[in-house]
Amino acid sequence: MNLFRNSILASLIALAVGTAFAQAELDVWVYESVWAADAPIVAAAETFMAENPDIVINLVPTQYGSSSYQDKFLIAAQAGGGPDALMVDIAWSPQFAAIGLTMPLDEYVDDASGSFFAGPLETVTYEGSLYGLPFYTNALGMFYNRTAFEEAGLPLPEEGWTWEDFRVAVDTLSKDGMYGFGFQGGWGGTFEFYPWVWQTGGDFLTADDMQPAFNDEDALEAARFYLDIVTNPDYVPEAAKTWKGWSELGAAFANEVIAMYEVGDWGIGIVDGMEPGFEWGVAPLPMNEQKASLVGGANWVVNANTDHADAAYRWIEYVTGPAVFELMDGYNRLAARRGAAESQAIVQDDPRMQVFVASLDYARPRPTIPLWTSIDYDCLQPAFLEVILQDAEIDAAMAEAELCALGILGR
Amino acid sequence: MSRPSPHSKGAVAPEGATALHAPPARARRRIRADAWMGYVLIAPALLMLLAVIGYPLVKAFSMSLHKNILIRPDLGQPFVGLENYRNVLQADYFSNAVFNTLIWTGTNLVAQLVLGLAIALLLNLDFPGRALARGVMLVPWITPSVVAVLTWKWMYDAQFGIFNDLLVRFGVIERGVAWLGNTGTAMTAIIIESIWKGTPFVFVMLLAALQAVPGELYDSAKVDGANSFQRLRFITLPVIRPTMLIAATLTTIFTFNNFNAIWLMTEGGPLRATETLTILVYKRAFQAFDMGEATTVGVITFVMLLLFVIVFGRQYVRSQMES
Repeated sequence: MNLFRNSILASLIALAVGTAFAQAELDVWVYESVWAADAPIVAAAETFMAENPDIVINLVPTQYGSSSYQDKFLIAAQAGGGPDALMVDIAWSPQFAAIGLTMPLDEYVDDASGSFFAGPLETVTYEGSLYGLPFYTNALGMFYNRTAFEEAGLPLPEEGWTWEDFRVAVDTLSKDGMYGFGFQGGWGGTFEFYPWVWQTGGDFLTADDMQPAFNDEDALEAARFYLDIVTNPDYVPEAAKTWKGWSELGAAFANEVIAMYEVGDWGIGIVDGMEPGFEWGVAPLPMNEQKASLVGGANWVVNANTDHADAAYRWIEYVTGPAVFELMDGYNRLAARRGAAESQAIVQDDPRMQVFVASLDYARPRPTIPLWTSIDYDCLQPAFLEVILQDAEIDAAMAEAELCALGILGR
Repeated sequence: MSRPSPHSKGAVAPEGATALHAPPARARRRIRADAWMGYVLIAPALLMLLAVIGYPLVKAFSMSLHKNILIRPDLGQPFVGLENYRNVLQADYFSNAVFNTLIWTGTNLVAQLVLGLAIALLLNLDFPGRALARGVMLVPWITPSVVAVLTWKWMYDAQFGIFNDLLVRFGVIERGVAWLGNTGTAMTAIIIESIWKGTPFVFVMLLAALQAVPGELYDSAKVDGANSFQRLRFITLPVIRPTMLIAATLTTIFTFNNFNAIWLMTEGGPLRATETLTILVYKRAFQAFDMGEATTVGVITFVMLLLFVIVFGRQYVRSQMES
């Protein structure tokens, strides 16, 4: 029936176009934020279509909320529909692969490790198979108010600065209506917390991904240090309890409410756009036993339902290929493709971007098992919020979170 | 102003329908034929309703009897009977959501009715600027809810919000409080927004009802020496009672089902402090991806609301029959 319908469609199109072959028309979802009539992604699609006249790309800008983009694809794909290819947050990639919504690309790609950075590549690898291609990447760094540092006589934070340096800076800068640090307290701050655990040598799950590890001694040390700072009403503003987005943090930073916060390269545009009346810079995150940062970014995946697998793969291969460097320059973002630091003008021209590039060396993704989102939302965030909002004892809250995670992993 | 008397209803009814005695056989056949035609005419609407309400309802109920965790396709979607119901009813998050829903809906209902009635009574009086006052009262209602919610969110902001600014200025608090960010204050904060948004609707309905109260009743009550409280108690309230019941029912349904105001202000947080049943359904479905449990909560919510509507519906019918 489907075949019949498709062949009729194909003949109709062939008739209409007057050519012997049918064009593959691809619906391609992109974040609403990267789309505009004259956006670089539109130009890239046009170039691609010019080089591949048998493929038509329909870019569909889709709203990216805390969950709406993800929901829409999930629902559409489970019902057998959805776009042919789409860009996705690296955090969703394992989930989609686990549900079987995205197509394994093993028949197209032998080994992608030479083409992409290791961290981003890990997020499209699920049970040994490749389920997408990395698009752009980023790492967390620390924005700091340089003017405030200088006026307080503090040494500027640089590669190799330590937790103790950070604590002293927060303490010193918290005065005269300014707070030393800000974070996304609405989420309990678990997003910004990842690197702190890795910096102690700890982790969130055991190496086999079967057991929680965030209640082990190393991770606990990180939790105590981090939560001691964010629960101190002199160090972090009360308003941070409701902050859930980067523009809120950017506004607080640009208006000299907070002197430092953890953020990725996307924060540069936000803060620059607010025209802060002071000098500021980007530092790597402070180190403890070792350096660590968190990898973020987006991947391209192919919908497992697509009728045009080959065409869809050719598009994602193109958009993550060498053309990605110029494309990402247009967005002030860092391509996940090897050679980005050398090939991208924005890195060459902006020392702030170079800090992020350097951080990528030791940046790691969040746990890639599909259940991690549940553990984060249902165990870790509540534990942090209990400490922040209800003065719960840190060790007890983390022990409770561990039990909760065991329950989820054992389900 | 003349009003048609209740007894004049029959005068405009079509021939045949007003007959007090059993109609002759021919007329009966015609009624049956008319009825048949009627069914045919409403059939498309009925089918449409079945498709967009009946089918999803049945499907939801069936989903609630199956295990269906989207991110665990390996588990399949086996029939599990009432297991989802057992899990949900035993879960702390469910009793928490029921409690929050009752507080959220109950407080909103009482406050909106009392305030709505008070404002309607006030703006039913004759005073200069009354039309303007009535118009201004409608502003919250005509403000798009997302705009209203985001504005309130700003007003509650701990750093830049106007409430905190005023409270600090007057020395009530020492530094700003994150009204939406603390477990002790979040529910109150979102309820205040919702009362502000919902009261004008009650006000409009009750004002319309008040204007339909026959003036002669007040005149004769005055002659009999009734004071203003007695006039309110024994004339106004009984006459507008059916409207109040409708307003109460609609307010309850709107509030009970309200998702966007809560979601935009707190997403049910912090720590589930504002998590109502509708928020819980969303979270089970799209954060935990557990469609079985999500639809189970949905079905239970639906039954709760249905029971409420039945109780209020009967009250309404009774009050209609009394008047």
